[in-house]
Amino acid sequence: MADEADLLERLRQQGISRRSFLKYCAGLASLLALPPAMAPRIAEALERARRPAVIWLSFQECTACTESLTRSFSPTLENLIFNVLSLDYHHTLQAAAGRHAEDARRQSMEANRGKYILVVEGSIPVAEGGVYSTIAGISNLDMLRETAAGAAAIVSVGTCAAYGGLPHARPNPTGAVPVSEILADRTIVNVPGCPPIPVVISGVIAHVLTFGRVPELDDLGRPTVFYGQTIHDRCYRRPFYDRNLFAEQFDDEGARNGWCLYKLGCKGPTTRNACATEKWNQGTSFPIQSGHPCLGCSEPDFWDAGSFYQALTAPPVDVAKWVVPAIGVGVAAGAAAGLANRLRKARAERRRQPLAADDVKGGEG
Amino acid sequence: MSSLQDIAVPGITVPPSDGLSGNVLALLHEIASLLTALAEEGAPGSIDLRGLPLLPGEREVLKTVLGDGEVVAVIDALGETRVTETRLAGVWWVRHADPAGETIAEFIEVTPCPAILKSDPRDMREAGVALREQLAEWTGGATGGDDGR
Repeated sequence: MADEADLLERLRQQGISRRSFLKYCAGLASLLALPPAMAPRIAEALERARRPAVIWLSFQECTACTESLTRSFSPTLENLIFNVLSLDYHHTLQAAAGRHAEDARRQSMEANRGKYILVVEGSIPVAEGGVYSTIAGISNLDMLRETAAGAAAIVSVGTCAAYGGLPHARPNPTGAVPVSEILADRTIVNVPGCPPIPVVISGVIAHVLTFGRVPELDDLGRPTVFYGQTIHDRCYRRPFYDRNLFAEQFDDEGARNGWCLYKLGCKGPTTRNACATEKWNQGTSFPIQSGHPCLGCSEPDFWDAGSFYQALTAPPVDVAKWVVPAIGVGVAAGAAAGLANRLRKARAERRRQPLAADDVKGGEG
Repeated sequence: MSSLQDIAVPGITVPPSDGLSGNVLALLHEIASLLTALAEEGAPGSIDLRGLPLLPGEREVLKTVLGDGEVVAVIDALGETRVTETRLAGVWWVRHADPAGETIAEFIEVTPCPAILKSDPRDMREAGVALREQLAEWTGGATGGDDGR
C-alpha cells in the first residue's frame, strides 16, 4: 500500500545517494527532452513525491509490455521509478491469487480513491458481453470501468491497450477495442509499442510524479515528448534517404553499406516512436540499426496495413485482380471477405499518410 | 620568464583529413555561442547529446576535436559518471552510465563547474552531524564545537 515516506527517503533507505538521484534526474530530463538545467528542479519535485499506488490491469495481452519494463537492466531509471511505486495489483507480479488478489485491488482503490495511477495492458474484448476474457469471473470490461472510476490518471501501455493491437486485427473475433473506446470521457495516456520502450513507460509515470499531471498529448493520446517525431526523423540512416541511397534487397550492396531501408518496407516515415534515440537492449540497437525495416508497431492497425516488406509508396492493390480469380474457383464468400479485408487495409494505409514517390526521389545530392 | 599571459590557451584539435560533417560543425557553432553567453552573462548552458541523431562516428569526431583538458573526474554513483573538461575552458563532456555501462545521459555542459561535482548542502550538514556524533561516541560526549545545525 502507499505510504507517506517520500521518494528520496525511500531511495536513501535503499542506499541510493542524493548525487545518484541527481544523476538519474539528469537522465530523466534528457528523456523528457527538458533542458539539463531542469534536473535539480526535477529532483526537488520527485523527492517530495509520495509513494503512489498503481493498479496494473492485464487484459488481452502477451505480457511483453510488463516484460519490457521489468527485464530492463538493474538499476536503471525505469526500475528506480518502478521500485518506489506501490504496485498494489498486477497479475504477473503479485503473490496473491484469486479472491485475495481482487480484495487487494478493491482495498487499494478504496484507500487511494482519486489518487492512484491505473495502468492497462492489453485490449478489451466486448463481443458476446465480454466473455472472451474474464478474471475471477469479472469481465475485462467491467473490471476496467470499476477500476477507472477512482483513478487519478489512466495509462494505456502497449499497442493493444492503446489501439486494440493484435487482438483487434482482422477478423477480430473477440471484438477487441482499446481503453479509449470504453472510457471515452476520460483522458487516456497512450504509450503504444509492441512492446513500448521501457524507459518511455517509466518516463510517463515519472512525468506524472514530477509535474502532478499527464504530459502533453497528441491527437492519438500519445505523449508528444516521446512520440512527437517519426522514427524517420531521428534515424541515423536518414542522410542516406536524403541522398537517394537505398537498400533494395536484404543482401545487396545498399544493405551491406547500411543505406536507407525505405524500399524494403520501412514504416519509419509514418511511425512515431522513440526507438531511434532510446534504442533497445542497454541502448545497443534498434530494428533499423540491425538491418530490418521498422514495422510501425506503435501505430494504429499496423497489423492490417499490408506487408511489412512493402514500401509505403508501392502501388495500391488492384481489387479486381483479387476478386475475379476467387469467384472463378467458386469461393464467392471468400472473395467478399477478401475484398472487405483489402478495403480495411486500404483505409489503414491511408491513415499512415504515405509519402509521394517524388518525396523519395527529391533531395538527391 | 614567461608570464601567465604568454601561456597559450589550448585550442581544439585539427579536424580529421576528410573534414567535419555538418552535424559536428553545427555543434561546434552551438558551443561557441554558449561559451560567449557564459563569458559575457555568466549563463551556463548545455547540449544533450543523447537525443541527437548523429551518424556513426560523428560523436567520436566531436570528442576528438574538443580533446581532453586538465580535469577528469570520475563519480561512482549507481554506475560511473565521467566528467571531463575539454581543451576549451568551461566546456565539459559529461557522461552518465548505469552499472552495466549503458549511457543513460550524455551532455556537453558549458559551465565553470558541472553541478554533479558539487556536494549538496544538506549532505554536508548531515555529514557534519554524523561526524560529531561519532566523535562524541569516541570521546565520551565532548565534541568541541557547535551541533552542526
